[in-house]
Amino acid sequence: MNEPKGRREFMQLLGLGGVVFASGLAGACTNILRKSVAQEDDFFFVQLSDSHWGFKGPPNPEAANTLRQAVAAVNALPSAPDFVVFTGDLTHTTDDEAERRKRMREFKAIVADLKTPVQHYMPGEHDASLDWGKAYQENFGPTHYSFDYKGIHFAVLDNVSDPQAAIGDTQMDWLLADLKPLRPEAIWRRRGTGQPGTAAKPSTCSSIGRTSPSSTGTSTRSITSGPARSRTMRRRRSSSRCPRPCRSRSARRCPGTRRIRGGDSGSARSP
Amino acid sequence: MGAQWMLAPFLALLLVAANADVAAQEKVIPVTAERFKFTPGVIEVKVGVPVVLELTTLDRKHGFQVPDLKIDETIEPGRVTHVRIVPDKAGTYDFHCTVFCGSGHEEMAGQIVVSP
Repeated sequence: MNEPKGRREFMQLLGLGGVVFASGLAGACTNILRKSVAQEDDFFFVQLSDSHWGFKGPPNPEAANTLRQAVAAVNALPSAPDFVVFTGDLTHTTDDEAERRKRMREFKAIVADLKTPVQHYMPGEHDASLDWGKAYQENFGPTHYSFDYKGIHFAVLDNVSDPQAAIGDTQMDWLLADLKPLRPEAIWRRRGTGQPGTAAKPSTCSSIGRTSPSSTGTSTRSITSGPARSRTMRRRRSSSRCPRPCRSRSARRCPGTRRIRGGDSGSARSP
Repeated sequence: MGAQWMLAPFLALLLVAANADVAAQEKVIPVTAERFKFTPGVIEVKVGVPVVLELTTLDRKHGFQVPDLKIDETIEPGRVTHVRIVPDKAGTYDFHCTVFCGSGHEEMAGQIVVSP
């Protein structure tokens, strides 16, 4: 369908103060910008992350504007993305429960301007860790779920509602059941709760494998946006605790892992 | 009842005494955690000299992780968490809180400085 985005369009998004590449399924993480041959099943989505709506402080004096700028940049893409995914820390944390909900309402009002109708959300620790995801669920729905798009199965895991970044047995059981009929496709990892002293690192693609014929030829790209703060504000999870892509139930030691598996197309599956 | 059963209380007493003796020789360093800092923020120890960190929290649950020393503990309110360290190499080891505790969580960190 859409011609893959050119380098210039993506570089324009990079100019939004923290937009970085995260991963791609077309080949490898580093190949996002590589021009590929478009195929009928090709698609791309935009990943926005760490908007930290409500943040005020010197690291990002433009925090009140960058989310709107990101929305405008996505709307201005010459080809509309198939969907937009927000990968956590939509809002900046606050102890005030009323303020927390207010920030979430404001966030929703801003992203409602996105022309792309399909949007998927996942919580970050700033959204969910102080109340076990209660306000987040009120505003954005389940914290873990899965959905399918053009032969790709996306599973969203929640490792932030628990302030110690545990996924938990209930969610792991759900994930195992959710993935049972599928075949391995790719593993993504997102940093979890902060590790001070380490530079911020965006979502990274830790492993990509392609075993599902249904997704062959799919070109998926994503973008991570971190408009609300500088790199020193967030730290990635200790790599020593999760040195390699997780497999099976051992994933519970690596709560930052996201899995994507190719499989049958279908509707979203909630827990 | 055999003779070994009669000796058991005596041996247990010896064991307790030995542990108390070891504990008495080791330096205890109190470390308090509160949003969003550890006190002291820099813990100074010497190579080969065992120390016991006595971790407590002044407000809520926190974590205490020193990745390079493979230490990963939680600090619960109302409880004391003891961490024994026997430094074997000089250097600086970062530690941080691993339980998300609010807007300053990412800055809640410190260092263990091991001198020769």
